[in-house]
Amino acid sequence: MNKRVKELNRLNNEMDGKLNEENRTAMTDMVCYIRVAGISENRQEEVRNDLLSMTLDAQERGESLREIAGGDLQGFCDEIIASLPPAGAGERVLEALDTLVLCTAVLGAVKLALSPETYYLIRALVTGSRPELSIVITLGDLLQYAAVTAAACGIVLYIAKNAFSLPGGRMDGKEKSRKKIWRRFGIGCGAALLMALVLLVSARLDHYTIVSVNMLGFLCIVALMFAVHKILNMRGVKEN
Amino acid sequence: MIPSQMLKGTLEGCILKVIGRSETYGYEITQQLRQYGFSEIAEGTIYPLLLRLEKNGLISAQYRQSALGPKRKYFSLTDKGIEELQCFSRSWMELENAVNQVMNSDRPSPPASGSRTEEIRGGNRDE
Repeated sequence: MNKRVKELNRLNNEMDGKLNEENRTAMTDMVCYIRVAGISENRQEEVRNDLLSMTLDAQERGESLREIAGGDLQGFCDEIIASLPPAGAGERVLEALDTLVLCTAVLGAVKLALSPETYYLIRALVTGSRPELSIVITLGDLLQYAAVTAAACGIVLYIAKNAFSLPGGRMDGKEKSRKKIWRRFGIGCGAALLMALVLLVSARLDHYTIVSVNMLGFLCIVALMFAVHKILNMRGVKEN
Repeated sequence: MIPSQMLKGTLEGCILKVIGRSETYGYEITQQLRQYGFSEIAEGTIYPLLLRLEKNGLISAQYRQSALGPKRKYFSLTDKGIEELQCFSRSWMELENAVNQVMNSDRPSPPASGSRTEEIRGGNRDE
């Protein structure tokens, strides 16, 4: 997020605070839906600013966001998305890279915090014995990293794409059918089973060592990944 | 009520005409269109069209402080927009003329090929 987008985002958050509850709920659903539509961050914030201005004006007149959208919020969002150019290939690559380095930094930090090697190191430091400074990366770790990253991205995408129909969001005039609820229950159970399977397999694969690295080196890699994420967030995004 | 399929092709031209009269903003455009008979038009209907017109360089926007509430986005026609409006105006008159002739005619047979209606269809741009 560059400086201009950050400033617009701050202004938009301030405007969002002035919305009444009904309009804020509708606005949250819409922004969620637009966030994953493959539009550049700059345009997302510009559209959000337009929508907030429109809604605050409507609020002054005693109208709601749903009314100015003609009753169909999702259809309105689809029209907006169709009217905007998609984000450029460069920006999409940078966004994917940003997600990847952030996941690597977070999961790396978790690995470091929860690994037995860290526990042994602390124990050695307390007892004054010779510390072991290496950390082992196993095939199971890599599988878990891939599964957790994919699951996190999948959950975010699913929630955002279904912003108007998930519990909490409002379906435009349609009742949520029993079939849909069962389908979602099935998807949830399937995802939980898949994650359980991944954890089971990764536990079995924990015996296969890929590499053994110095703990300080590993910590540097985690810090570097986080720094890259910060740099990518500060970059000046080239508009399409 | 005007069917949405019928509205689609003509609304952009009407918005250009309204903006062409004087610099204006979304809600005001909606109100003017309603006064002209587009009774079902909501502000949300024209917002995506304004985005598309802006993207295609037919209108330009400028933010101005409003007396009440947040800044408003005022639109004005660009040179390309003026040309497009003239083009739409010509096409509309030809189409109106052709449709009127069809509607008012008692003859069962269609007009000969290569008529002006063909030209209109060929010249209809979808940006």
